[in-house]
Amino acid sequence: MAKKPTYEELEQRVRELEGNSNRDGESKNKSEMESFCEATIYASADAMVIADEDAKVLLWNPSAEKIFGYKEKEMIGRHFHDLIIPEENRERVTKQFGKAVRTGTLSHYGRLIPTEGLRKDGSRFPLEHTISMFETNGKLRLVAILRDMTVQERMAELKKALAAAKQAEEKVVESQRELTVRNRIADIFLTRPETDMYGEVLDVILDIMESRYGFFGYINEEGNMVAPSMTKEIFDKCQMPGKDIIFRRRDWVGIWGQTLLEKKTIYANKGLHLPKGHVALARAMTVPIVYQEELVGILAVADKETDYDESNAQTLEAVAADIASILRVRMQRDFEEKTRRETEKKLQASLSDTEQARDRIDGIIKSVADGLIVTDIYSRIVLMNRAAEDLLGVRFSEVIDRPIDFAIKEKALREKVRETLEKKTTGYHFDFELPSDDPKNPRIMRARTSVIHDREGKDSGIVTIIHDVTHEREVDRMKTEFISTAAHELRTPLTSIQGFSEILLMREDLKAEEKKKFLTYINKQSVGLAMIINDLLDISRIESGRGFSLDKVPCNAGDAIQEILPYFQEQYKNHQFEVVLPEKPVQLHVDKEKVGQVLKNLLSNAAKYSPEGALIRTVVEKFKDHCRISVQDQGMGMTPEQVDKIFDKFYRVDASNTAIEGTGLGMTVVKHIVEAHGGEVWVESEVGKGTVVTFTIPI
Amino acid sequence: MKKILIVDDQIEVRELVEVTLRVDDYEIFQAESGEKAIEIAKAEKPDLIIMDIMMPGGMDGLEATRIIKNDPNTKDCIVIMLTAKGQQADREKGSEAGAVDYFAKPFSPLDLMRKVEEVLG
Repeated sequence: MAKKPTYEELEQRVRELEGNSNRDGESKNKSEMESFCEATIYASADAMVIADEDAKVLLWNPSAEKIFGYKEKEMIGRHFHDLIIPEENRERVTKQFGKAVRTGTLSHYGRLIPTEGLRKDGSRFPLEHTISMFETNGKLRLVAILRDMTVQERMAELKKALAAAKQAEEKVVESQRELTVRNRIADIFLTRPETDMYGEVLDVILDIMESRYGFFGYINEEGNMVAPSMTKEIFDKCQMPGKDIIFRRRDWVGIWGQTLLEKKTIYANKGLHLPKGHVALARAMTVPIVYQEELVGILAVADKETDYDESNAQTLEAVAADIASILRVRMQRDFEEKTRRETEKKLQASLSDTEQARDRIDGIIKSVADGLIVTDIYSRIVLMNRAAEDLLGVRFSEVIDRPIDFAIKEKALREKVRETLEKKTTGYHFDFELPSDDPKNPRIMRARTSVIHDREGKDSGIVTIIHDVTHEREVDRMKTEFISTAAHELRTPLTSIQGFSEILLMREDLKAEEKKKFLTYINKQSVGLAMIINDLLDISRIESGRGFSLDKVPCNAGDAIQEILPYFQEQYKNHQFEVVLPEKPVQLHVDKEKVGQVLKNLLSNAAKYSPEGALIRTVVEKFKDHCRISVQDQGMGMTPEQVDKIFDKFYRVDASNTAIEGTGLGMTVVKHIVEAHGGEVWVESEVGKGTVVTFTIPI
Repeated sequence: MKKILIVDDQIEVRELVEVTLRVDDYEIFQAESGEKAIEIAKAEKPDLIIMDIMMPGGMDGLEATRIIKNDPNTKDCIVIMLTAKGQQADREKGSEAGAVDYFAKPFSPLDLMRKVEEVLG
């Protein structure tokens, strides 16, 4: 690039130009204007080119040299088209040039035209030029002033880039700001207690949205919108401070309602319809909070000073997106918490039920009088009740989880138990003995096993119930003995009846008094037999619980006794029978036959257990509300143990030889009859001295 | 004349047996207890003893039978048990004690008569 010319150079230049103009025969005297022009042309930073009608270059200033790269020498007299105009434009320019020369007018006279120029080195550059024409000495001259716009263009580009960079930077700052906001919100969600959370998030949102009003709501499990946080003035008269407001789906109205229903962001800067009581709003924006296409909440802001726009919407949507997942997590967590609490409650309830059931079962098991032992499939003791502890003489706590062998001390029993458990049969039972106070009479226990099945039907253990059958055995034994005795008792009179009746039928040689004697025997034994059978029937009735009905009639106690006595006197000739009666006769209202039976039984016992010649006294006494009758004998008497059992069924004081007749039921029947009349009966006795049996009949 | 001893604590039974066997020209003795039975057995050496099992007092018919059959003086006496007890066990006990047969009460006098004829030949 050439330096800016000095004044001396300018002078030199003017002289050269003068020289040139001298050749053309022009005046040497230049005006000041001409000098000025020449100087201007020379010094101008813009390229100046003057061309003649043929487009030959007449003037090529230093800037043109600089811009295009051609020296003045190279350009003067040459066609500029070929050199400085890019190839594709040459034809057009040439045409325009030709047109201009012909017509004498320029279409774009004086206008600044951007185009492209071609440098000597072949490079192109942006160019702006103006063109004008003038005439001199009848010759047309075109003047072009051209400016290299490269720098400007670059500057423009730079400016653009700078602006873009600035914008990008702003965007980043904005993003960062947004991120900070979102971080803040996330932070609030994760750390603040629920009561404060919604309010604080709303505050942040109102802040970044520069809005005065707003609310933040979430969708609850019933699908309704709950607004835990709302700026106070929105529902001026309706807001209840501190309480969540619930908006049911059918009440979703207005801009926010629409957002909820359509899951779309909506903002409006005018024409908002608001319900009554709602504070007046100019602008509002509502953004749905959606998580994986499910509506979980809503953000609403209103009354920003300026209009809400897309960028606000985008910011709030970004916040909503953040909140969505967190809200969802929180809701999920709350839901799980709620479910967990409900499950816990249910578990508690069922636990309490189970405990109750278990307590009930425990209660039942404890109170069961039979011994109960539960063993698992390995024959280890799982459960044992009190009765079992007593029976086996071990504590459950000592043997829990140990094999059942541990609990059973008797070897024989242990073997039996193990054998049974191995067989694992249900309903299997076996008897075993346990020692008792009387070594001659051990206790007899019956053990019954049952397999327990679990819910799937698999074996899960064995229940063994131990029942004390000693008494039952005793009763069984007594029953068997009773039957055998009864048979014996029945057969004895029958012997006489059958025998003597056959004799009477078959024999011709009998004397009259013999016949009579034998018939008497038959008759007597028949009567005796009838009595025995009556006893048996009564007993069987008592046993079956049917009892008997009383046929009460008025009856004199003394008379009843007197009626019976002769029979006994006859029967037991060698005994003495005495009756003691009170002064005034005693009237009873009783079943005469049954009371008669009582007397018969008592007298019969007295006689049976007394030696011959002994006294048997029957005493009748009258009291205010009852009559007392006692039968006293001087017989063998009884021990206290025997007295204790006297009323037991089949109990016979002297059963060993059974030479003393009796079914063992006499006293049982007596007791039953007396008690049926509302009376009592008891026995006093002393071994070797005698016995007194007394009974009362209410009057 | 054959001697028959009837042992039973009940007089009626003794009378029954006595009247039953009277026709066959037997000499009939009666005892109301085991002890009495042994006494008479020793004294009279009866050919047949009809012994009741259940008798009051210290000795029952089985024991009396045993004693009689073990005593060389009386062991030749034939003993028939007569009793209301009818179990197999009792029969066995009877034969263990030395009785050759067993008669159950109640009985038919005719049957008893035939039995006695059979035993005594």
